[in-house]
Amino acid sequence: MENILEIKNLSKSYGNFKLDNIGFNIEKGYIMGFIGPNGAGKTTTIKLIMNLIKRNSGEIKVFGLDNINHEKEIKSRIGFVYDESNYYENLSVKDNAKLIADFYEKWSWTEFDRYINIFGLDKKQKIKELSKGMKTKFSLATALSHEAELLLMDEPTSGLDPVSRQEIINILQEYIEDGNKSVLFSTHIISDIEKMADYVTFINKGKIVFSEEKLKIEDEYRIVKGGLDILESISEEDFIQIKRNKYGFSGLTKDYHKFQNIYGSNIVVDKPNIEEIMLYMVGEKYE
Amino acid sequence: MKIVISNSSKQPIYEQITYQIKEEIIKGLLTENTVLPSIRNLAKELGVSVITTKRAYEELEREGYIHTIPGKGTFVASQNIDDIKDKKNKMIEEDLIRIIEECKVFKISRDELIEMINILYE
Amino acid sequence: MNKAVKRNLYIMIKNYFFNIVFLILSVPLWGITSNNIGGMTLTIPIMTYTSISIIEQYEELYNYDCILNSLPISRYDIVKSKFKSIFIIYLINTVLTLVTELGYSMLGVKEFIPANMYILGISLSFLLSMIYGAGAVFIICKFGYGKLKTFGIILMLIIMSTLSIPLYILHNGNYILQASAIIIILGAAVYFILQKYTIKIYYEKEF
Repeated sequence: MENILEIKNLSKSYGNFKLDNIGFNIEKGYIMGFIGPNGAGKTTTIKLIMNLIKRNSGEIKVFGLDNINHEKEIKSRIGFVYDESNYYENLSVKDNAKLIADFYEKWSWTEFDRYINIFGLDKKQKIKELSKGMKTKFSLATALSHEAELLLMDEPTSGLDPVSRQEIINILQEYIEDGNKSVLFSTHIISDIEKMADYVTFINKGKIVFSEEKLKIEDEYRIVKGGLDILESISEEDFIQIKRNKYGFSGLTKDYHKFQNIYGSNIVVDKPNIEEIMLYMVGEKYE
Repeated sequence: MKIVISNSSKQPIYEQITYQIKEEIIKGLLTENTVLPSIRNLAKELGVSVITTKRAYEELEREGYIHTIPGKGTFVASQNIDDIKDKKNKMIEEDLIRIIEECKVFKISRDELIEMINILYE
Repeated sequence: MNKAVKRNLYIMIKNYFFNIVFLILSVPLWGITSNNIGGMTLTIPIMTYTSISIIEQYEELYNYDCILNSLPISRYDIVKSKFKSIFIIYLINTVLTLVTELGYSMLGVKEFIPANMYILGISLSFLLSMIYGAGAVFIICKFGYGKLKTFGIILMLIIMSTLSIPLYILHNGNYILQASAIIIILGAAVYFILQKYTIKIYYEKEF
């Protein structure tokens, strides 16, 4: 399978923050959720892909092409949706679209109008009159109107109501239906990707924790819960993170078979969702 | 074809899909050579990830329920009668194993279970 | 690159009302300066500067740079388009100014300007527009929009002193054409040198 995006040994330093030798790939035809706490490096990574900031080292390939040497071609095939609204607030939806449309050879006004209709936007409205959700939808409409093969979305659903979020998720699932396009969806609202993401890349403090098929991650990890008495005879090294309360403990681990064999029905072994995995991993123990 | 997914069920979504398609094939509701939706189309319709439906189909293909012809699509495989009987038994067995596990957790004995079955079968 | 130029012009036109008003009000006042072309050398650069300033202000205000640099256009082309826009805006302003001026002259509101003075005036306003316009873009790229005010003030001082040049040249009426040619070449030099350095700065910028 082809990779639409390949990142290898990417590093970037910024004062206090450092993106440290990260790497991951996205295959054609899939949605990748890019998760991590705020400040983990998600936006930095996306900016590096778009060459808005300069990398210190490493390689980024999009559609098999180096992202700096073939910048213009790559950008004509990428649709982007950023967190902040960076449009001329005093101009209308249509006017802002006109200013962007010109740059794309494959721009289609029919497609743009179609999405504007689906999203229920008014082309004559000024951007400053739109709610955050509507601005994101406008952004998405422009990103989808020039036959982009890769959608880069930086926190597109933050600040959106559940209905709008679901609308966007539906559109993305439709987008990848033909198997030729991919989506990189960065977010700290993990519930958005729980259902629709094929792959999940988790970044924390500038490092990639894992980048894997979502189902495989869910297969690998378990949350083991038991009484405090059991906790005493457990080696904490087998756990990624343990949480304690007055009545018992719960811990995230990969080695759950071991515990199941020893403790049998004295413990509960649960399959965690991605959000729980992240919450455990972004604890102090995990470096 | 009917597929209904429960988000709150402990059973992973791909397993639910596999199970329900299996069921329809065994019951004869999905006949031999019926075309199944593509992995991507099914994912979109159900609102789940592509990898989920992919895995479901991979399971079904591995167990011989469906086969994929590249370029043509995915079809229900021909099932011979003995196979069907075996598969029906296997499905019931899987369900029984689950029930038996629960009984053990709840400390219900084998005899109590058999008694329950006798009563409910009427 | 031309699409980026189109975009800049679009923004300029949407905000051109102020310039038109300024033009209509200021041209009749040219007679106040001791020589008529003092007015031209003030009007055209000011209008150019205002347009450029507004365009760049929009960019910085709305962080449009982020979008612009995400579109399929190279940084080189972005800068080149900024500079090309300066020149085109200058041309538009010059044409409109001259039309307005001729209009007022024909209506008898002010005197006609002799032809060779026109040439001197255009060359000076070209030089000043390039200093104002290209200088503004350079300053904004290097120091951000905020520092533009300081730049604007310094520039005003320069303009005040250049008003005296036409006076000197008037005394030597023979050399007006040659002087104009040199001034235009200077203007072009300012344009290309500032463009080169702006490209260098822009390449290193992070958004």
